[in-house]
Amino acid sequence: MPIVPLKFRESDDDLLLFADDAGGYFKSDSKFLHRYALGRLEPSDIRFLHDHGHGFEEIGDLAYSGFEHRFASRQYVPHELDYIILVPTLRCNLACGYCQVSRVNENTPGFDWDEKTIEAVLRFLGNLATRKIKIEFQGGEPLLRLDIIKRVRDYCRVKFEESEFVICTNLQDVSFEAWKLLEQPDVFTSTSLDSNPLTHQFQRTITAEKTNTFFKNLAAAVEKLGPGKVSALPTINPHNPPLPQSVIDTFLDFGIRSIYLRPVNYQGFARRKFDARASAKIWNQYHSSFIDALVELNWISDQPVEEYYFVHCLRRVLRAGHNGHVDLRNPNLVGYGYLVIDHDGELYPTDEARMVSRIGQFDLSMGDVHSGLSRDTVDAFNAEALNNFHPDCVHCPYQAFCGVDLVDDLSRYGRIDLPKHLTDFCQRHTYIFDKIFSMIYSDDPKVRKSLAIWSGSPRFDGSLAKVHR
Amino acid sequence: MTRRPVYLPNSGEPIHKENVDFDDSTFSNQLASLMEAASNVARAQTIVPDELMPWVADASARFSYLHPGVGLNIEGTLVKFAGPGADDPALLQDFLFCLYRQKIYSETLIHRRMLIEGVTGFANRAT
Amino acid sequence: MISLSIQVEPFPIVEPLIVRLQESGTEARSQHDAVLLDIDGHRREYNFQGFSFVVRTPPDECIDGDVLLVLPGQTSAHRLIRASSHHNTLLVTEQCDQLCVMCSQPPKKYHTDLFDQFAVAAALAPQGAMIGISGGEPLLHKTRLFEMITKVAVERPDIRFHVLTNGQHLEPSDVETIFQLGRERILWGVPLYSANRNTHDRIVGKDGAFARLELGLVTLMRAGASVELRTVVLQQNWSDLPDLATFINTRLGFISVWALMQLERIGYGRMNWDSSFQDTSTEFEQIRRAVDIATARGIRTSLYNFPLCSVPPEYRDFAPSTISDWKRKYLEFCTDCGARGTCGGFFQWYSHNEGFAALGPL
Ligand code: SF4
Ligand code: SF4
Repeated sequence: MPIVPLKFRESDDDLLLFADDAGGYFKSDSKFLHRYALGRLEPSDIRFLHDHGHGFEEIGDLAYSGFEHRFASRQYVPHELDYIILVPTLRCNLACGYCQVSRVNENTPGFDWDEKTIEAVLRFLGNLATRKIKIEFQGGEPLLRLDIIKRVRDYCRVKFEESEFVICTNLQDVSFEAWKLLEQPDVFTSTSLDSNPLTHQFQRTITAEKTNTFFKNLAAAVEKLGPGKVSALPTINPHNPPLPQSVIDTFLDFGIRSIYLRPVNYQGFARRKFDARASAKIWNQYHSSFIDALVELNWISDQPVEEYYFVHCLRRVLRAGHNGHVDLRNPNLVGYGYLVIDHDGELYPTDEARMVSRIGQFDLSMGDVHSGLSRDTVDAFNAEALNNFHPDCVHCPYQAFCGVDLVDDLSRYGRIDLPKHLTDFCQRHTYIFDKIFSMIYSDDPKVRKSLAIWSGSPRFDGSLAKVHR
Repeated sequence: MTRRPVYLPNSGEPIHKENVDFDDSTFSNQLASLMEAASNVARAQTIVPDELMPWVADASARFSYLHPGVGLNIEGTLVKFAGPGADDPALLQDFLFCLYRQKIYSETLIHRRMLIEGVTGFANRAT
Repeated sequence: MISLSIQVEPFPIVEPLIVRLQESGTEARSQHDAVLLDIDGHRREYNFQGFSFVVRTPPDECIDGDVLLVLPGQTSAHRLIRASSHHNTLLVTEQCDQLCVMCSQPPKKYHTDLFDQFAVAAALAPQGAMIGISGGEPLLHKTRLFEMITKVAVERPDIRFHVLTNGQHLEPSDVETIFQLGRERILWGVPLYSANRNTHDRIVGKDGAFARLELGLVTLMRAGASVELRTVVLQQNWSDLPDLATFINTRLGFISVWALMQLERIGYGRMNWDSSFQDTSTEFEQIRRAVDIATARGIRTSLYNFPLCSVPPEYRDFAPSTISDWKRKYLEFCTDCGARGTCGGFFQWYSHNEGFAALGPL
């Protein structure tokens, strides 16, 4: 009976983790590895592999087809363009330390869409085939151009059957008119809440007065709009991170129970100042301690809390077809499902690509909103954006759960062919999957409770941690 | 993985512990450092089973790429390792794993291509 | 209990006839419409193409829009479509090639082909209706069934079907037909009782059934069909449920929903009740595990025909009300139950002294 290819990795319990291309996994010992690698499987091995979807009788039978289906569901297929990020202005009323290339001062002229660009953007939206649209306004501080937001919104509400708007705002200066906008049912608010008031002030608001304003506005937003309509991202400096508990407490104060930790994304010089490899390690340690803190909290609290990306990765381990996150896909074809229209009308496949192009590293632009979309550059790029045959990833049991992020590689190393294990992307994901598997195979009832919550089932069943002996 | 952090691919830097700083040390300090460095250059060897010989070349290439600080010398079925920590049993095991991985990879490549062709039709992009 | 037949006065026909009952004052919209003229107690008189067509039914019963099948010489018509119900099922044949221990509709030898009539009836159903197709085994008459569904699909693209099949007769050559009918058109309800082929074969009373079913499921997967996988919980497969969840995850990830179903005490289900009924009110562990595994794997899982008070609180969200209105009843203790609105209750033919031991109002 044929066995599907298995990849393996040592784990911290003296066993080896095995996984196949469709994301099926189990643990076994090195004796099994020898038998498998040397083609000396015993009947009990074969029975186990067959029962758990790692083998089949013949191509086309149910076991094979089921495997193929799981494999296929893990391959990301871009859908039509229905998600547009708009940057109507680069001006901002804050000057956060880590945000240099994506903003200019509030009074700087020439960094807003002009009338011609606005019209071109509306025309661009008008030509989309989709019936549902999601528009995200970024900046700069988009609320500085409330007028543009309203024009786009009015246009979309007529043109599309369904539309949804996300305003990424620093909530620093929210006028009466702006509140009225945010209160509408199809408008969602996304803001930055850097861990706790102290860190927030240090990293973003600088003065106590501005810090107070922000926290007052955030409280008002949660109160007026409801926690379901407000999301907040904490940007963490891994070299000087806040205590996990203080981050969690701050978010819980605002009724926000999904926390998406993001490492500071240095660009240009600031990035070079910190050794990227060391950063991944420090970040991973911090992230791990954060997850541990959540596990402790979930054990005693009846209001569960999650770290968004960790849960996303956990579900990607457990399920096929969980391809909803733009940062973790394979193949990671950019420039199709969503794109960014910059303050000068340039089109970019992602926000990160916009940064890379802005600081002059590489030009990843896809044309501009006046002359139209051109995918030549990104398509050349996309041709490389898969891990299926990557010489490192083919040996990695995490391949099926993982993805690729070539823009990230490019922005950090100026190239996309660095050995994977030296990249920040690989180091972060190796860590995160190591962590996930150490939790899946843990007997600790606290860990199992959190896993159940995060995987969406009442209890986390022991058979999700199969061991073949 | 925790057993041999020095060689952990993810720790990044290759293993040049013998980079000794001569700047402001006394001679005896320098000597001590040199001796320590020399003692780090260990040696080991292993015999590759016949049935794995077809994959020795590929496995060695991959091993060297993962462990740039360790020298490899292959004479027939005898593989010699030299470099800091080369006598760590975990390193030998890693070499064996490289052999296994190479064997598994090449023997299952047909299956993998078929799977990908059947599903997405982009196998021809493979290198 | 709502009756699925209705008294009619003898009507001079030689062929089976399909009639749709319309309230008075409406226009006949098709040659099958009968328009109400007069209600007199239990007697309702309709104008059917200029003839008098008489139905006997309690005066308060709403039958407007219902579609009847009238057979020559019979005074009882089948209410094929009840316009006010979401549970309309066409029993297209009583033949079957399996003999399941819990069969609620034990097979018969002979078959009367009424597919043409069923096609007409389905096309007269209310807007957006989902019509059940059941048996026996409908796919024993696969060609006729597909003809019927295709015909309705052309005339009434808004109508969908829920086909209950044992999956024994689906072959690779059906992929194209099923694909053409479209994923939205048909929900296939297919039973699978165990990942252990012997257990499955024993439950369905047919050697090799599991292997045939595997092929049938491959066919549905390749056709991109939407499938409701149905597992009746029995003593016979009780300890197999967690493994079945694993099997479904590895082989059947494409299904739309996995339904774990309580036993219906009718037909063979009644005959084999003692050796088959698993009291899940006193022991839930295997279902618990099956639901946990499938849910963590992202497979939508649902508990059909479980009284809510038989399900532990954290699993009640998995148990929608599923017993068809015309088959449903509640027991005395349900009167003071706060969950009655969301609970599906019991089958009419459920017998409490042989049933669940640990129930009570919530
Ligand atoms: S990027 Fe790293 S973690 Fe991800 S599949 Fe490749 S080798 Fe594995
Ligand atoms: S008492 Fe009756 S209505 Fe209430 S949950 Fe039980 S069966 Fe349902």
